[in-house]
Amino acid sequence: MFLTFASGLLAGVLSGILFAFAFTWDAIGEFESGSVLLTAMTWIVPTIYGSVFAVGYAFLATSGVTIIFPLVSWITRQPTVAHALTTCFVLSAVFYLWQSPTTPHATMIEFGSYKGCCFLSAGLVTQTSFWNSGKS
Amino acid sequence: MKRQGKGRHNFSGLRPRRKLRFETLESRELFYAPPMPSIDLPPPPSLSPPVLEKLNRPHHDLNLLPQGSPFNSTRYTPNPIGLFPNGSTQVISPEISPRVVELLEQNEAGPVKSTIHRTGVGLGAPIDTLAGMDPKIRELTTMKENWGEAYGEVTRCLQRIEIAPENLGSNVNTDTIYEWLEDFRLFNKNNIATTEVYKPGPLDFPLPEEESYAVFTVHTLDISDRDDPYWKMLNTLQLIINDKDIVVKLYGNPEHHQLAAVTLENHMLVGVRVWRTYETHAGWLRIETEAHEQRNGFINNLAAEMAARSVMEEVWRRYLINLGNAATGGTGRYAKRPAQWFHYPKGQENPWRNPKSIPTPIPIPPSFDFRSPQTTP
Repeated sequence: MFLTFASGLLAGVLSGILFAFAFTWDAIGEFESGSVLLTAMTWIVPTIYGSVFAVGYAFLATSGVTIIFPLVSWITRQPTVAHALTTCFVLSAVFYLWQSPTTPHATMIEFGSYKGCCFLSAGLVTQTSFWNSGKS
Repeated sequence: MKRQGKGRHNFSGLRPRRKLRFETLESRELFYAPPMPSIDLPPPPSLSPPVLEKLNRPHHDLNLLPQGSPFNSTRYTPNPIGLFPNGSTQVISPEISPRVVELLEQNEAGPVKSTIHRTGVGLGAPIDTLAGMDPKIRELTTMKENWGEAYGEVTRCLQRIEIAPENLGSNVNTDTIYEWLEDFRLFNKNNIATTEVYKPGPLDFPLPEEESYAVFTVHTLDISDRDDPYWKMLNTLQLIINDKDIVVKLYGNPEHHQLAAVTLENHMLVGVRVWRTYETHAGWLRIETEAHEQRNGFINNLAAEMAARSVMEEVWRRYLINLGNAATGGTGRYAKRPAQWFHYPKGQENPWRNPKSIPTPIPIPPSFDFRSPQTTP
């Protein structure tokens, strides 16, 4: 159970970092010099911002799947149905986050896409862990 | 021989090297030389158009990290001491009201001006000299505006509140609110940063008229109370590149109730912010803050886009709430306008580069007859 939870959390945080890297890459695009890519600070700042604020969404997604999947499995006694319903829950939450109102001057951590990205990867990785443990 | 050696040792001990860090020629020129008007020199005729174009382009040889000196003054500031006509020697608070000083002088009960001094090296120095100045203000006067470090496009941000005349507290008008704005007395309450204004006292060595300095300190997670963890975390994260204390130079304009602040040295932003209050044509009192700013270095620009810009908006939102509550006598009956952000095209210079020529507000008459709705937070 711990590994399932930890893998989901880690996946959410990693996706947040990747999102921040993509955001940085877009910002770097305007430079003629590529030397900026070799500077540690250029990657430390997005790593920090991308990871710290992803923890919350990753935790929400992992906790949600960890609670919902066993509960639905216990009620329906059919793991496939439980997986389908859990996926629906994850996708609905992602859609809600994605569509959440974003002001025109929003920062990266306020983007619906950032929130959705962290939630989706954390939720799906947690569910995949449950799927694998169910098979074995 | 032993005695001679000891004597030599003592002799050298009597002449320690003095650190005259701030008594530089530059500091002296700041006060004793006449103010230098900025001169925009035409480009030298030898430069060809492609070279000029390259020079005029915004930074591409970028500064990654913020540039500029920090303000970490821990200097002790002794209060001035003066001889009074009754023969006593007393300490004079630098925060003494100018009105009190005026009355003391009228009644010939004030300190003898030529005797007012600050203790320091030796017996001290008269307060109307550079050496007798408040050491922190002296240090602040050596800090330069950081226009050269600007990175990214100019961003304009406008935040405001409006108060209906019937909701204003008793004796509150634009003059009162400007007084509040001038010394940021309502800034610290429930905010995620604190500020301290440095202004010479009425008997101190004066700065140019209506000029002063403010040092802002962000609240970080090391502060023990549990309020605002989200904002404190954002403030803490930005410490990897910026300082906790950041300095601005203030230019007051009491006639138009407008206070402008220019960023100095290693401030994470580069630009100007103003706070102003005025009456609209409908008779409502408006308190607003507007900024035209860029960022200090690429990393700060990136951090602002990622998260830090919202912190700035939050700081000024809370300040406006404090002002609104105070102006309405604590009832909170005022209208809050959402923050407005505008981005200037890339390469455009900051239109407020000269803080003394920032346009003052011209209230636009309303095009409709409806009063704005009131919101109670």
